[in-house]
Amino acid sequence: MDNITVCVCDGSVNGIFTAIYKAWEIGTSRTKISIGMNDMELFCNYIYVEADEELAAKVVRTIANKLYGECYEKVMMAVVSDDLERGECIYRLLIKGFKVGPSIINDLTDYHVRRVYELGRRVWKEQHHYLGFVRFREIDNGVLAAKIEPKADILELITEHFSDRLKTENFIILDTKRKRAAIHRMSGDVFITDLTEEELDEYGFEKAGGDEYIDLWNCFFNTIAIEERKNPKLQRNLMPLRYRRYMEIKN
Amino acid sequence: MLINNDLSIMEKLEILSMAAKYDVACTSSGSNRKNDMGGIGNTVSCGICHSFAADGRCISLLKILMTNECIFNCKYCINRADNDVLRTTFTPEEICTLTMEFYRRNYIEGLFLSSGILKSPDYTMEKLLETVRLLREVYGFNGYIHVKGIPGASMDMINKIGFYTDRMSINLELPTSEGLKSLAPHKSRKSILTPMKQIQKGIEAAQIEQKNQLVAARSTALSVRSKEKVFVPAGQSTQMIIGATPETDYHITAVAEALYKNYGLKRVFYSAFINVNEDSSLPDTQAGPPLLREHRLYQADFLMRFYGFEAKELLSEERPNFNVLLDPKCDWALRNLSIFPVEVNRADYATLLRVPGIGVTSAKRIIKARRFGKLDFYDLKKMGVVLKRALYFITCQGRMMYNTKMDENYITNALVGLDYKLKYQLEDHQSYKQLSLFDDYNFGGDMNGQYNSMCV
Repeated sequence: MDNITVCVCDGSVNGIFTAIYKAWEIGTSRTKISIGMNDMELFCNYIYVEADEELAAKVVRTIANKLYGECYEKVMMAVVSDDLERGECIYRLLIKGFKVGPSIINDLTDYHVRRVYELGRRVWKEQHHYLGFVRFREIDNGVLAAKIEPKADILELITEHFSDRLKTENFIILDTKRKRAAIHRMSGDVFITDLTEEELDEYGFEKAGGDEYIDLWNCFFNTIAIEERKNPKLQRNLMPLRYRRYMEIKN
Repeated sequence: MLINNDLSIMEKLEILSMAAKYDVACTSSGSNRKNDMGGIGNTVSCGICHSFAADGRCISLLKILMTNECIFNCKYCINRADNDVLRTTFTPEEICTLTMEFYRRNYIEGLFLSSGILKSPDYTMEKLLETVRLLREVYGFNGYIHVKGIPGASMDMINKIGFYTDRMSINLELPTSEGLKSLAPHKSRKSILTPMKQIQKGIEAAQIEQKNQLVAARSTALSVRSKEKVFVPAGQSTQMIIGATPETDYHITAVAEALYKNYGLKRVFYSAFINVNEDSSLPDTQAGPPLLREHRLYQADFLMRFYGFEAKELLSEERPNFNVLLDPKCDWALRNLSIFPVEVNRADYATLLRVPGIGVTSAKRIIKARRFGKLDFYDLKKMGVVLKRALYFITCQGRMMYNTKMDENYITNALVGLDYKLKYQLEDHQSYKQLSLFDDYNFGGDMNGQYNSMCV
């Protein structure tokens, strides 16, 4: 009996899809996908798969063609979540899905499909929250800068939204957890680059005095609440504390 | 009237947002527009909440009055002419700058502009029009704009302003014309409903126009992107004050239903009455505003808009008010036990929607998932069905979850416990209560998510 081969990857989007490609080559009945070396099992061969942009792109193309629509969207959302099982769940979904077609995403009785569905929803919700909760602050020369600390890697997803909305602005969004920043220029180019918090602070994010509109906003934020209806629990349900770190709310 | 227009922008913002906070409709949904105007801003059809205030209400728009000066004297309103409060007015430029700067920093989704009445309804509308025109055309703002229609505004003004806004709303304030007459002597049913009808006609005309353009574009194979302005693309809404006058829930839901049917409204909002003026002719709200009642009305509102219920199914002349201890859907199900339990693996969509604990999302999931195989209770739970409610009303493959009696009293007892905590949270948390040996509040129940955001 052959041992199971576990394809280990680094958890990046390219890494996961490359691992899936390699696993497919070895044979779907004898492989698993793992992100990092956690929960190692006995009687398994572990191979590390280096992320490869081209192979990953191939896999993504195939998914887009064969599992178009909601299924593709859910997979692409789930793949940036922070769940360690996401690689394996997507792999299992694909094995089943290439036989069934894009409607596979509705088969919520299947554990792996359901997990991908849930993760996809969770990531969508988080990026949607961030569309509202991102707070820009004006730094030097009218440049807008924001910090976020998301669980899932949603920087790219939200940058798309802000690039359209703030087309005529220069802005930076920094993911402090992954130390990556999206930079948008007035001229229209957008790119994502590695940038540390210290580097951003050098641009003047923490400069003294700050932004006068922060106080105006807080004045509005505090007066708009109705005292007689005060409900901090509801507020926390709808705007969890973890989002507030960079929201500059003063009571 | 004490008027001071030389205040700092901060002071004005404080006064004019304080004066606007009792308005409910702070949603940013219903409009989908890319930023191709060369300026700043777009809109997203599902809407975006940018913050939640200490009362748990969503902050999506910069909700302000243009002025809190007012010639009307509505008894419930904090800005009524009789009140001795400081009055001030934003200049159009101040409003535009605030909106643009807040928007750039992603504090807001757009502007919600209302106003007290200066001189006459039309004069006020003229000023509002001037402001939104400046914002759109000079400041290049392409985000969401919600403007209040002033009761009594002329046809001409409504027609003009509608092309600059995403949503308009005219507040019905009170469900009956008698109520309106006694509390808002300067407003009448007619002065509210006439502009409302007009907005509806404008929206319908714009929709037909758009459809024609689409057909024309298809036949000539041209691109359909038109940059022309659309009249109130996100539709209109209204709001009613709950608990200031003696109308029953039946009356209120019937009025709401009529508004949806005859005026094509997107939303009817409810606002639990707070006696801000401590007016002795109005009900006293010392014990807190009627929040649970407001909540029940919203539940009924969702049942009517998304679940195919009619007002007369939920309430009647004989039972004119909602049950405090049961949500309207459970209440309805208990009165119609004869159609339950339903088999989840066979029931159609409309029937599934009638089951307490199954919502629009989970009903759709069930319909799709059961094509792949039979569902059991574990699957339902994982798909988001609230089993603690649903279990009395469904079977999976012919079996109920537990050995349940299909008996009205038995199920009522089981379900009532679930809503005690909600009642406690909403209404009784500030007041003292007599200790009792038999604790009638069930603190163990999990009510998270029961009282959700009212946006969309």
